[in-house]
Amino acid sequence: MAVGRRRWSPLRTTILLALSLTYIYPFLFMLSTALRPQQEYVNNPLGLPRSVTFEHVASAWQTANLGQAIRNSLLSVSIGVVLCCVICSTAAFYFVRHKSRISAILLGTFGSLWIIPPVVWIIPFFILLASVNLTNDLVVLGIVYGTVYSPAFIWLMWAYFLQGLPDDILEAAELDGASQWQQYRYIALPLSMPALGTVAALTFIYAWGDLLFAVVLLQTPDRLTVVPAAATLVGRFDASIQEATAAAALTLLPSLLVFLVAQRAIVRGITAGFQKG
Amino acid sequence: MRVTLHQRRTRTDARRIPGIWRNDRLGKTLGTQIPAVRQGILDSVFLWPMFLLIGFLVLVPTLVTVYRSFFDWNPGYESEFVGLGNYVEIFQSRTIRQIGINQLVFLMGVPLWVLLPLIVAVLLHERVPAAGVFRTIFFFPAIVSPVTIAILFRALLRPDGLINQLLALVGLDGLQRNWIDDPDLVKPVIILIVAWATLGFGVLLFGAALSTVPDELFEAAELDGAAFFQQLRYIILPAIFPIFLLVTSFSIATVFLLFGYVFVITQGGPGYASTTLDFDMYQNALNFGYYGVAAAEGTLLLLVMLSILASALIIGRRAWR
Repeated sequence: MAVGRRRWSPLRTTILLALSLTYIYPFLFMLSTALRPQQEYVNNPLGLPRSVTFEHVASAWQTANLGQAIRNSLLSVSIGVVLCCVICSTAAFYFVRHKSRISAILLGTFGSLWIIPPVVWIIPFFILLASVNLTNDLVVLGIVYGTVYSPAFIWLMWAYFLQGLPDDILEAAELDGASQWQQYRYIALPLSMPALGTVAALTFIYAWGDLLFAVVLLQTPDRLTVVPAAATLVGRFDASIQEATAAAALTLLPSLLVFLVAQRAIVRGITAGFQKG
Repeated sequence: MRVTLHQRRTRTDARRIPGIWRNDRLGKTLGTQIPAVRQGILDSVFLWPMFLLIGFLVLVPTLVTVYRSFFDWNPGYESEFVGLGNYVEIFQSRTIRQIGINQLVFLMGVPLWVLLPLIVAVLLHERVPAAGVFRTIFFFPAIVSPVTIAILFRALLRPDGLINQLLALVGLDGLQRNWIDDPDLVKPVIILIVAWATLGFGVLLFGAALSTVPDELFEAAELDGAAFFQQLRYIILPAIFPIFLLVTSFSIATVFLLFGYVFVITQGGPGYASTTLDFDMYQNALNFGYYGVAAAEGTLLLLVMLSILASALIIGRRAWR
């Protein structure tokens, strides 16, 4: 490899810097709009803020009842995360242990179900729930979250098991008398913690950001989760742009935390199987 | 049958371990086929969470939608069978023409949604400092709720928002527009927002694929216009074709999954200028109570998605062969 090739290309770097500005600025704009006094926003909305106030955050928090909404979100999202991990790891374990034609077809079918747009099935599901009085229920919402994101993640767990769970280990355990359940519980599950972490982080991010399921299944304001609560706030005519950006920033915070903690796992999970080495 | 040394040893070991009798694969090797059906049922316990939940929440309701699309569906009341009536109604309505046009326009976003991340991934592949930081920055919107993105862009695209003020700043007042409330502009604007939001995901996939391409292929890579795109077309693209196909299928599927963006940015408006099939289905069912028509729309949507999946599989299989 020629020495010169390691040098930075100024043209490439400039293009990428310009592009990344379009990514950084909107979020900076959101933060500065949410945190600056109204007078300052009116005079110079685009520049950086000179003073900081939390009044818009506080008023968005109160108007949208975000304290309650965060509790609601945490309940349904955590049910979703746990359930999604259960569905994906058990199913992927089965598909790795049984490499028959039928199991390949089952994996292909269930793994492709993410292609069905949620609006197609959420409406009959809602009608069914209404007939047994189970709408407006955060536990049901959590179960929906756990289910709807699992088809894509079954692939992820399956790919991980194929690479990180050699058949020899399980066969050796089998020879030692371990049942399928014991193989799953004491070998597959501990070995798949990194992949489960990816699944959990992504499920959290998607479920936290969901709007559709929440607006269809939840009806009363005291049950609303964070994102629809913020969306209703924005839809109201008397909400100022500063309140709206404050609400947007608040909805972003938990996903941001999860992303910061699990960034590497998320990236590895998405690119599993495509990457070198 | 010849028994190899290894198998014979396994067999003697196995006799002493009760657990072995539960293994169908080893059982076959040892010629001791034991209740395979019972064993199959026991093992399938691992599939029950998937069967029960996905089946009950996704598969069954999807079939209900298809079935009910042939009825004048009134949940809770008697529903009359109307055959293809709902479909006739859809194709006779004027909205469906607008929705069809909208979907076609959104389809034109696909090249942008695929090529932009590809180009950025190639740019990032070498001779750029802190490539990881750039990747993180571009990926960031992927973890943000479409609702948050929509709130953000509504603020930026308002008549007195950032974009128009920037245009004024550089003296291009003539280009100022009411970006979201102009029926001609709203679709391109949504296409651009989706391109912005999904860039990092594509960069991640393409970047991973590029890392498997031998460095020699990039030897001649100079960023001077024609040569760059020639190289992209004739060297890089064939090398990463499977991922290219994957991202393209995702993008085509996205055209019919724009609900999140449409719901918060425009509510389908102005008029029906940005209404998509999935958003119209949602409105018909939950706002207007036309459940039968909504079910027919859902069935059409399902057919579209299945044909996208099928063509991706067919092209993919041919490419790999």
